[in-house]
Amino acid sequence: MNNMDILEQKIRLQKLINDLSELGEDPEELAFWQNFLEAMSEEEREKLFSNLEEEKKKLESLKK
Amino acid sequence: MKENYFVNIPPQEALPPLKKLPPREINPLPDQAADLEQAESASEAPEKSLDLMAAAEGGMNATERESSPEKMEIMENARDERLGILKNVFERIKGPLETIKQSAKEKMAPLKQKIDEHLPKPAQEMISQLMDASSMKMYLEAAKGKTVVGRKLSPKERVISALAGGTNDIAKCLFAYAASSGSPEYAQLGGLAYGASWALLLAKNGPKMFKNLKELAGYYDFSQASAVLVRSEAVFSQYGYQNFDERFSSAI
Repeated sequence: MNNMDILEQKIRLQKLINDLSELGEDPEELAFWQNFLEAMSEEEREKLFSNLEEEKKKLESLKK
Repeated sequence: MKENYFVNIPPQEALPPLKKLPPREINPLPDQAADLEQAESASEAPEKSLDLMAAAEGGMNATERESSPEKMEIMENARDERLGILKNVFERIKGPLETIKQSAKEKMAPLKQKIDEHLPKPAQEMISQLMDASSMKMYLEAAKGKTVVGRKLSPKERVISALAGGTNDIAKCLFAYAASSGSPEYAQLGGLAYGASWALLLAKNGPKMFKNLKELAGYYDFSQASAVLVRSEAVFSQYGYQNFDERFSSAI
């Protein structure tokens, strides 16, 4: 994986963290995933993104 | 193909800024203090205190939590799922980490006296707490939701325990690698990882860790605390960490 890939993933993760924090999630727990992203495999990262996106979707649907 | 997880790190300044969190207070905030006072004088004091503690665990306040059980459930389920992901990561990397830790432990044993000469006592205690060889096992057990002193850990506590253990072990590897390879960028990353694990351990272990950190801050500027560990690794390097990078590479 090159620097750009991981950078893009970190930016994607940061945006999700910001969105979820706005929805009431704990920003501290989520922020630590930034530190951990490097140690994760591509598959594990995709699972994490899917988990966060799903949570965001569910929390947003509650607001409507 | 073997993968080195500690390469290709982008510069931190290229990332969007993290959201600023409100500063942590050691004493309760005024409204929390008032709640606690009220709770202490009333018969439902234990229940109220527990509620405040539970509310403090997540990003929501007590009122939001009570009024949003559905929201809480979504968050807890998501955290449990994230914990599963984390456990997979640890299961994958714990073998190589244990090998590295064992090698490091063997190398470090005769060096302890030399390290003690270079570091103040609070720093020694801190390192000793952080470098406990059984920490990974303990953190993994915590991650599995086992009880701690008779109390089942909450999802957030489990995530924190697991993250602290993992981050800390990664930091040790980075420091060891930095010391052996002479690459300062690994030491900087190790410092960041240590900082993160300290914050987590501080939140988890409370007064004793905090006391040590405060004492440590008396010797060094707090922001430089990770530099203390970098220096200790330099001592390791000076007294026999040569060729560690080769073992590190083969272990990974």
